Amino acid sequence: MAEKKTNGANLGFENQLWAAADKLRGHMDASEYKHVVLGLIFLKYISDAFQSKYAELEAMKETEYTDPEDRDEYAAANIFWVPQEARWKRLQNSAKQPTIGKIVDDAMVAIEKENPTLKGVLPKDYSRPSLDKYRLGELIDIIGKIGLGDDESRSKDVLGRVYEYFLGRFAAAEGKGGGEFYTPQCVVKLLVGMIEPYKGRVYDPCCGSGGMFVQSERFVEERGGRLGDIAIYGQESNPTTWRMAMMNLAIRGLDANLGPHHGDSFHNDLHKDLRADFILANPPFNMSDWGGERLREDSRWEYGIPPVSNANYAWIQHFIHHLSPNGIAGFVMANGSMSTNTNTEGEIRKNMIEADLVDCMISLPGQLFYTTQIPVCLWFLTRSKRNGRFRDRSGSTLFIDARNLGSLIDRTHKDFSDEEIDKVARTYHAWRGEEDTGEYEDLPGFCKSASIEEIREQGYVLTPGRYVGAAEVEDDGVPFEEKMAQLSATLYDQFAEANRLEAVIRRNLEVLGYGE
Amino acid sequence: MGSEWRKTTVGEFCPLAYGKSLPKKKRGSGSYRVYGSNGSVGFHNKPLIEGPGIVIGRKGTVGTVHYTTQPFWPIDTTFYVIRAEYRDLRYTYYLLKSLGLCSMNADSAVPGLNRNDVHARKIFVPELGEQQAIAHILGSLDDRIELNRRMNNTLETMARTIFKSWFVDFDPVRAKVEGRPTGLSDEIASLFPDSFDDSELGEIPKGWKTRSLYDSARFVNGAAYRSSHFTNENDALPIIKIAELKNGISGQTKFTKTELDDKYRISNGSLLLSWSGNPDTSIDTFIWCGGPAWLNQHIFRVLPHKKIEKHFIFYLLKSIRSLLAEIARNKQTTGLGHFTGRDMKQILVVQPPEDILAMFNNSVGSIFDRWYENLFESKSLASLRDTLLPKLISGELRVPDADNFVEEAKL
Repeated sequence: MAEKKTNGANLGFENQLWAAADKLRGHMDASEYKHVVLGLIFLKYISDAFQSKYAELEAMKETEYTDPEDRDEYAAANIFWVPQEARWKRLQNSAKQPTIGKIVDDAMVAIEKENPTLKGVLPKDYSRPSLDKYRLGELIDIIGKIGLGDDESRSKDVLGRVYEYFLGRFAAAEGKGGGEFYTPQCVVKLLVGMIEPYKGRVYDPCCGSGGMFVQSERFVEERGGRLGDIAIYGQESNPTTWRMAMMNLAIRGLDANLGPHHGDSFHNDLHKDLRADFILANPPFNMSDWGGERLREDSRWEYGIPPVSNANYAWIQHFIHHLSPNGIAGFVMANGSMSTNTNTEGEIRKNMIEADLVDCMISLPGQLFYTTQIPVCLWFLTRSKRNGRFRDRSGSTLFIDARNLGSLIDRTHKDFSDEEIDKVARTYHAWRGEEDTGEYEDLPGFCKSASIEEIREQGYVLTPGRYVGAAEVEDDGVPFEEKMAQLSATLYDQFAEANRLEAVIRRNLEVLGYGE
Repeated sequence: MGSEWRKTTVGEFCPLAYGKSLPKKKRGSGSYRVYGSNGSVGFHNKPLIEGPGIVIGRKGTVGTVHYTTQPFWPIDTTFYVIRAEYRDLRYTYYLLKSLGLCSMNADSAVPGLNRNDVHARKIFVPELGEQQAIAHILGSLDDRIELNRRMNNTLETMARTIFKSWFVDFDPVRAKVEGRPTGLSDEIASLFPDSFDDSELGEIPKGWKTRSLYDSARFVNGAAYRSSHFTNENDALPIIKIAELKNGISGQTKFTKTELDDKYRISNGSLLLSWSGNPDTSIDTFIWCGGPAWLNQHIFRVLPHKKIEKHFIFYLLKSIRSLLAEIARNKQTTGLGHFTGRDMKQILVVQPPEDILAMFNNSVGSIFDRWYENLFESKSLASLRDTLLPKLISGELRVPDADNFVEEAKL
């Protein structure tokens, strides 16, 4: 049977797993519970990875004189050293004891102590009284079964995907708050498919749980590249989200620089000197409390000072600032960003357009996000539209209207299919003049390559709908003469019917005693 | 009255059956209507029930009653009733409508209608012949309302077709350029030029002008009414919002006695353009026909510069509805979208010379007038039906010699 390939993590059993785990949530908030669950999945992952290496070393003991308790062996293989007391087996055996909370905490502390890179990353409050120890024990049982019976190395991959799947489900369960750490996978896939981060530095200054990086890595892998082909730089301002990202990347075996701690990209830029080849981001929409009043002057505001009341254009300029000369940035923005003239925003956009930075704009349908129903758009910026890799696109911008794509996966949420993502990305790649993508052509209602003059004529508004036009719907193609003949015939029939009905109603009223 | 009528219950007379689930993703693209609690919700390629039938809202929207003559699919948020030998189905429809099922909401969380409660309702019903007579009297009124709706569709399409031919495609000019007959009377044809000029809009007939949509009429935004303005006094006038434009004055409508500027006061025939709301359903042009009222904000009152431009402006706005909706959609933030005067200044439209506008006013004027009359007629018919319905269903007003009546009406 052909395996159904949907958005990345589909193992066939995550659903049941999620249902089982969610049942144990009880009255706990999804936002709190996710740290409990994700921490345990991570613990199981590093324990499994360790055990797999352990077994390998054990097997070679006699012939190669390897020592399974030699921690250098693990460091060399980029595997976390898991001390005796933190190994999953021990947790599993104590799962039903009332002290299980303390045992998990101790395991987390022990792991952090042995592995400096995980310092401050793992959750360590499993012993808190508000966490029901019976439920915790049950949860350990459920997670302990993940990947069981599989080859140990495969089990690591399974855990990675379970982690990712759970992130998505928690984002959905949390609703409004969920979008802060999670970008829907189809949106990430589209961004990655557009800019194709195959080699170089990838940066996300508001990385949430790190979804952009995981997808980039997948892209590299699919193209036959190696893990080390991309170097990952990220930053996240929320401390608990930062920890989730650290775990998410570690579980994927991704070597990433997310800074030594969480931090606000505006006020404490942890990668000041970074010039990235690929920037992928989904910054918070229309953020009003970004501390803009303390940042009236900054080298990043090359195209104008962003208003204090809205961080959108601060984010956009932060991205541009960190872009290498041949780099490209693809990011999500609220639709308002394309047309706003509030405060300085219109002026900043105009300056960016005149500097020929805008490569492509895509408008997306609403209902893609958990946080909000509002329709959003994707921006793609580059400093160089003639860098030799692609066709010279100076002075032109591609507009794609993707609002008709996507289908509802439940009552309130939409998703793109892989074919739809491919259609949009291919359009852009064909426009860029990439090989084997076919000839680019404007398609009314879907895409249009517009010159900078046309954008000026539209008052520097970047809304794709303005350029691609509406697909003709009003005209049914019937010639005027024919149409009028049909309509007249219909009307005469209706007049006759009206006369008949009028007579009927008159008679009926007369019968009731209400004649004229 | 009604002494010879039979006492029975709804459960005995017309038992309700449960509809059947048909999720959206399983629906085909056929021509059979799918009914939910709020009426028609889509189409499917096979019906569940052969028509005619009655659909009653069970969950969500409670107690609405719909009648359909065609095969249909009632989904699981509804009950349905089918034909039976001993009763007239359309009479049954009016009977169910008269029961006030909307107020029989049983559930607290999700509104719902309990079937046992409905079945227990006591009713008096006449013999089959009198049922048919009652159904015929009320039905002919509904038929005429439905016909008016269809006729108005035809009339509107007709006027818009002429508008498009003259002012968008410039057919008469094109025919003259190519030396073909225009198909119009000589009097009309002679008004059109026989060549084109270049303009910012592209080719337009020689001598015609362009102007922005904003300049093509005066657009007065409605007033911002606050709750302190609301009153329930008898002589207060309704405040017209989008809901009133779409569904007329209802229980939700607010009334006021506060006299804001006279320019906000509208009356029958006022031309209105809503500029904020759901781009697909709320951005449109309307002719008000609900009597004197006050206009709320988010709706423009459109005042043509000259009287002869009225019909031109109305069909112009109708013809660019999709463009306005598109602009609104691009500015959508919360599911609502809007367009502004600034956008209207950017939209260029043609300005034909006055003699052509006058001629258009003449030709489509009568089409428009009939359209407008139908709106009013339907209102009168509906109030006549709503007045007769309770009297006829209760037996307070009897159809004399019902059997003979039915015979003559050839039912």
